[in-house]
Amino acid sequence: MDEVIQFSSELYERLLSVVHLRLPKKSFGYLVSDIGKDVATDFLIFEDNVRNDGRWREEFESRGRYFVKYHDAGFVATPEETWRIQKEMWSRGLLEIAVFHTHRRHPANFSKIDYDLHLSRFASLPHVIISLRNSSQPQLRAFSVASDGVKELKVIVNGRFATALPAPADNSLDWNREVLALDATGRPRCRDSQLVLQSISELLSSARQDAIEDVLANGFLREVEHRHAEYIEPNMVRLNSARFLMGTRAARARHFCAEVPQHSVELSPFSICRFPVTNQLLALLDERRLELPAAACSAPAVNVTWFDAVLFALWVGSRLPTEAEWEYACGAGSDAEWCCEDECTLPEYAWFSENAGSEVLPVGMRQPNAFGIFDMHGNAWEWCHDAYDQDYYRYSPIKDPVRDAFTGSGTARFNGHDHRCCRGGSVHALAEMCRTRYRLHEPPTFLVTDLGFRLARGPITPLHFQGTEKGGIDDQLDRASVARQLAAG
Amino acid sequence: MINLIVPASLVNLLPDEPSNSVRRSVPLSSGPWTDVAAEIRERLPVLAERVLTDSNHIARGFVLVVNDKIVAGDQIRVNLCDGDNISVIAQLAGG
Repeated sequence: MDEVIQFSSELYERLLSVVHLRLPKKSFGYLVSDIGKDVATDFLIFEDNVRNDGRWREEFESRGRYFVKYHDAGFVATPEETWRIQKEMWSRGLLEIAVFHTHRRHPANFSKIDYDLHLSRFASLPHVIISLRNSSQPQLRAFSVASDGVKELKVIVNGRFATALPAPADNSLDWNREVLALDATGRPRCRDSQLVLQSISELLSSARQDAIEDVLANGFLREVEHRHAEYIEPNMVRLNSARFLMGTRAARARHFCAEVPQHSVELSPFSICRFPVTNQLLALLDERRLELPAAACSAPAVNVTWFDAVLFALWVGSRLPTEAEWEYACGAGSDAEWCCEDECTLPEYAWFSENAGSEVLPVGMRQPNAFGIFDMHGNAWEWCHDAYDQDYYRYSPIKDPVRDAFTGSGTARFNGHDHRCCRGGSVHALAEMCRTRYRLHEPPTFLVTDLGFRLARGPITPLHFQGTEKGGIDDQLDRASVARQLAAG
Repeated sequence: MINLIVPASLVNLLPDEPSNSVRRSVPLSSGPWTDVAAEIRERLPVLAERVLTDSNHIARGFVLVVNDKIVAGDQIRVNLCDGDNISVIAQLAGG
């Protein structure tokens, strides 16, 4: 089985550009090569789609309301074009090295319909999916597909990342003061969450207690406990320490990527918010959220990057849940696919493609799970803290697992390349994507209309807020708080 | 003899070693389609399992081409003569 798919940066950009220009039309075709079976040198796109003809339409619509509602969901090539393109490949000496298709509303994930229709045709051809749900940030993923499951392949774009690392930050105290300055309303002046977090991390790494106290404890985060007590704590659910089985048994994994092996996890007590963060809540940090239509106030705050989510969590004395915490809180101890008994009852608990439109809906309008937590399935995908690794379950620790990709300090901790995990599905998601154990990942700079987050609090201090010598941000701020009290005394 | 031309995307379903060629040609005996299908089932069982139905029609999702003409998969009444070229290719589909 091929482990990588390689593109030249020119071909990669041309493919993304072409499928973008064809929107709203669905694109599908072959990646082809004239030099080897894992290096794409061109692509061939089909023009005609008979997905809405006769029996094909019936077959698609039998797979759920999403395929009834969206006639552009799904594709079937015509026999005539299939043969024409096959002859073109032969005449040009091209080898088909992967099938590709675009998603207009879904992430670049591999669903059951893709699995069934691909596997019934091909034995080992990889499948590439390009998500255009945020068309200005297209996401391309490649998958190997076999009867024993689906695995995500590494996509190598030659030359693309060679110069993409961010420039080192100026970590002088003046720079930190400037980045972490507040405006007259007490909100950060700097709108770049990544930069703000980088500055905080730099400051903590410096271990300069006076600067940490001055700029952070008495400055940027001076109201943090007040904000937490007033706005967050009332909606937190406290979960006791627990042991549960994370992931999916191999026999049931089918096309679901990265959910194996199922493994035992022990969690320390933690708290998690009953609801996703709403626009109204996020306005504590970003007043532009108040300019949204009134109906959006109580809906999940979406169009947030992972950096935006992490910064807001810090701003209100919280953090993002780890994947393990999220999965445990979502399933509420159930070993079923969802927190409820089966797919038939899922609409009582979730807004997803079977019962929702195209926009996220006010939180808390479906049934809560057994822990009293709302909207974990559907409505909006939720960022988790962890950096994504499809093999993480093979080596993750039993106790409080969390995958922090960050090493070094400052800039190195806040690169935009390591993807972060997202969970739960959204209003567009098929039931399978809303599963408790379903894993998705996106780059931390990605934002889209159905991706938000919720808050957690517990014993884990994310690595990027750990000082190099003197403990994590909680320790640092605790010390600053003690120092302040001593001074006041 | 006739030639069954198998595209690269299905070559891995043939009993031989996988190759990097853009297609493979397999000689088969000429005759009515039912006989050709029976030979495919016998000599190329993994390919047959995927592209043929139990009644030796072309499975849904595949296209049979005989001498550059597409033949409807459930109406195969062709008699294949020496020198004919046939191919079975996958019709791309997904969600």
